[in-house]
Order: sequence, then structure tokens, then C-alpha cells
Amino acid sequence: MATADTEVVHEEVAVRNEAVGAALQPAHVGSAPPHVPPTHGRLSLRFECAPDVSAEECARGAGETCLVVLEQRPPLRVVRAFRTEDGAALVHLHNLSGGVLGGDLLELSVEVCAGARAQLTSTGATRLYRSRRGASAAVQRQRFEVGEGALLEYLPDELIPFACARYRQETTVELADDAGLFWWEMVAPGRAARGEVFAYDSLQFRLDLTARGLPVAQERVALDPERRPLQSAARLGPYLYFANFYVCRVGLPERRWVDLEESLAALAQELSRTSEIIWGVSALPRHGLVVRALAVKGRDVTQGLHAFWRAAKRELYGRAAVPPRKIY
Amino acid sequence: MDDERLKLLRLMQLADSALPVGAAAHSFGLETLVEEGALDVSTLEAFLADYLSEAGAQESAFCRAAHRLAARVNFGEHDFHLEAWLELNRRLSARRQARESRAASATLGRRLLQLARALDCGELLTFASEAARESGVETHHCAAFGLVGGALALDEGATAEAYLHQTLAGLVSACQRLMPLGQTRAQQILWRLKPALVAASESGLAGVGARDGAVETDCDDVFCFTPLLDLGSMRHTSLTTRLFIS
Repeated sequence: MATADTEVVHEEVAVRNEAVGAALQPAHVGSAPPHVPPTHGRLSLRFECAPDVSAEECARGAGETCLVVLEQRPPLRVVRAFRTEDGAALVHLHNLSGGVLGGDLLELSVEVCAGARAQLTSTGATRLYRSRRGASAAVQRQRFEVGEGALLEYLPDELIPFACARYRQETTVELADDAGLFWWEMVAPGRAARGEVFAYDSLQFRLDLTARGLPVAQERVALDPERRPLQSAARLGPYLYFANFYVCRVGLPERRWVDLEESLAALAQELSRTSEIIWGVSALPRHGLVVRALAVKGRDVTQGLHAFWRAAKRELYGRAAVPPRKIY
Repeated sequence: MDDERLKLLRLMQLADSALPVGAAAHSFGLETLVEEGALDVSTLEAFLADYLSEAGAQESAFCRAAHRLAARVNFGEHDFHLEAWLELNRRLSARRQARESRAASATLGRRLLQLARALDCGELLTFASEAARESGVETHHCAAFGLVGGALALDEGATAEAYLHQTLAGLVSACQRLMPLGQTRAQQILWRLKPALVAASESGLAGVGARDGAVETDCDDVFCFTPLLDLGSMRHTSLTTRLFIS
């Protein structure tokens, strides 16, 4: 396995630890907050077929996928890749800060080369900490490129926005011919166990999912619970958690997606319990479908996402979905 | 003949909820919400106000963007930017992720363009709808309405607001068939929501603009979050009895 750890800055890590402590304190009143240098974390990863196997062999599971770390700058970090049971490379994305702080700029770039298969997950929920008064929103930019015949499974734990958090996420996913994608995202209402629900300032999500350069799915979501109540029936209604799960394989005919929508809709109906959790499935304009959930409890969503993933992967790839091994 | 008076009358005809494009057959997911008890007469007005601030703003932006594509041709400033028209509709398809609602919007858009061609609203509409059909691109209702408004040199804001009003009237009409909502109450709701409608139209204006040198029709800064309604549309096929196509 090739690795190239190009940049590790221990001093920055120390600064970050101080910043975490500061962020957990109440907002400053009447005095200027201590200066915390803005953080620009970067992680650039490439997944490629092992040198001795062709892209075709790699895609059908006959060869191993290798991780190349092109750049990593704290607080973002990967430690190593694990080989999954079906030969894909599994990588855990670490944030050494333990969460995202106001003013952070975090950039993630992932390229899955032709025929390679990558599975990415987080080491736990992503905590979006309280933003200091006057500080800019935390920004996370994510860019995923999935090459011809390659497969990306992006399966993170949920985002948990703390009270007063301000966060903006910009995601682009580009799929080449016959590229596959299983990509989910789940957003919690806050630290629900302590009754902190919709207490964040603002969350913004931009997603552009394209295949062969044309849009497949686009999201522009701005959440501002104080000004635009999320409990409205036009938004979340009685539910607290929401999740989107995109399932794509470029080049399959439209009929195939409508059929898969029908079979997954049966699973959606089976897993839905009005007022607790509801699931919906819909074919996208081309090359894929989306599964959506609204729920009162996060655990129900996680279990359901795995059920849809298993069913869709078996249908599209004839393979079992192997849940990522967690290291926490 | 006073041109402005003719324009107003044309806009009134196009915005009439009785325009034969098939809008009355769609609830866009409302039927599921009513069936599952998430929406009733007491919560309808607040629901529609929030709906306008999300979906209404988004549709206003795309309606205005399409209007500008046609209006620029009218003013002789530009040739019709065909790729921008197709991309606008592709983006709408990518945003409207619930298949039934997306198909409903595309059906209404296609029929509106057909009708506008039959009413001699300009050759541009023939070109735009033929090109979309040949490219396999769905033409959405809000974009088609904006394009027709631009082709007829109607005011951009008035076009967006007429579109939103027609859509809102259609949803209220659907609710009259889904819940015990009387005619007077329905009209009161429509009357009181006009300020919210204008606000949604203005939000769309803010979201349509240029950014970082992008073409002015990218609609990149208009946001929409209506997950319960989207799920209502996705789950509509599983209802045992249905009054509406979507």
C-alpha cells in the first residue's frame, strides 16, 4: 500500500486543542474573545488499483484498491486503509479537534480512480461546535470524483449541530461512466439527549451530484430554526432527524431505477411508522435514486440506512454490503 | 391599442387556474400529508406560508431566470441562450427529487408551452420546447411560465407572482377536495397569503443573481427545504386510494 504523508504539523494540533476547550465555554460577554488562529485543514486522498491489477479486475473484486494520501493538514487526518472483505479500501476520516469549530475551513478531496473501490466513514458523529459571536461560520468543502467503473461508499455518522453552531457544507460529487455511489448523510437536531433541539444558529448544505458532467441531484438547503421554524409541516413536521441516501450507477437505463424504486419502496413502507420514522424512495432524473428519511430517533435512521444499502448493493452489484469496521 | 392593457389581460389568462394544462390533477404530495394527519384545515395557512418561503422562493428564481432568457431576446440584446435554458431545466429536475412531483411539473411545463404556441406567443417558444424535447430535457412548469412571460414582454416580477399565485390557488383547490375546507375559508387563505407570496417572489429575485462570474441564470443562491412534502410525494404511490396523480 502506498502512503505519502506530506505534512504533519504538531504545533497546529496543540493550538487546536486549546481552541476546543475555549469553544466549550459560554460565549464571551463584554470582553473580546482570545484570538484563535483560523484553521485550514486539508485532506486529499486518492484510491487506485494496485499496480499489478487492471481496472477491470479491480472493479470486479479480483484485485486490491490502494490508498494514496496526497496531502493531510490538521485537524483532518487518516491513519491507514483497511482491506474490506470484498477487496475495497476502507478509510476512517479523523478530525483531531473532535469536532468542527466556528471559523474552520476544512477541505476534503477524494479521487477514486477507474476500477478502484473505496469505503469512507467517520470515527463517530461529527460535532459542530458553538460558533463564537462574530466569528464566521465553519465551512466544510468536500469534493469526490469517482472514475470509470469505480465505486465510492461514503457512510459517515451523523452531524450533530450544537447550540449556536453556524456551519456551511459544500459538496460536489462527479461520476464517470459506470461509476457507482452509495453516499449518505444524516443530520441530528442537536444534542437531543440533553434536550438541545434546533438550538443551532444556521446550517447550510449545498450538494451538486453530476454524472458525465450533467446534474443528477442538487441540494440547496438553508436551515435557520429561529426565523424559519423546522417544526412546520412544510419542513420537518413532527420529526427531528433527516437523512438523504444517494444510490447511483452511471449508465443503467431509466427503467432499472424505476424498478429498483419500486422494490425499495416496499422496504420503505415496511420500515415506516407514522409519527416515529418515515422513509421514501424516488428515482432521480437519471443514473440513480434517492432514499430519504425523517425520524424522531437517530438510531432508527442508522439501522434503516444499512437496510437500504444492503438491498441496493445486492441489486446493483450482486455483492453484500460490508459495514465499515469502527475503531471506537 | 394600449399595449400594457393587453399584457395585463394576457397575464391574467395565463395565470388563471382554469388554464387547461392539467394542474387540477396534482397535489404534489399534499394528499399524503392530509391522509397521514400531518396537515388539516387549522394548520393549512401556516403550512402554505412556509411552503411559499421555501418552494415558492425557489420556483420564483427559476421562473425569473427563464423570463430573462426570453426577455433578452425580445430586447434584441442576445440570441436565445439555448444551453442556459436546458441547464436551467436540468437543474430543476435535479432539485425536484420526488419523481411524481418532478413528472407533474414537467407535464404542466410541456403543456403550457404547447398551449402558448397555439396562442401564437412567439417562435421562441417553439424553438425552446422543440430543442428541449430533442435533447431529452424536461421543461418544468415554473421555467416554462417564466419563458412565456419573457417572450410576451410581461414584467418579470409580475410573471413570477402570477405563477406563484396560480400554483397557490391550485394547492388550495386541491385541499378543498382533500379536507373540509369551505369556499370562503379557501378564499380568505388565498387573500391573506398575498404578502407571503410577494416575499417569496422577492427571495427568488435575490437567489437568481450572478455570482463569481457565473451566468445570471444559475439560481445557485436560492434554497429550498420541504422534506415532509417531498416524502409525501415519494410515498404517494403507497396510498390505498388516490384522488390525485401526484
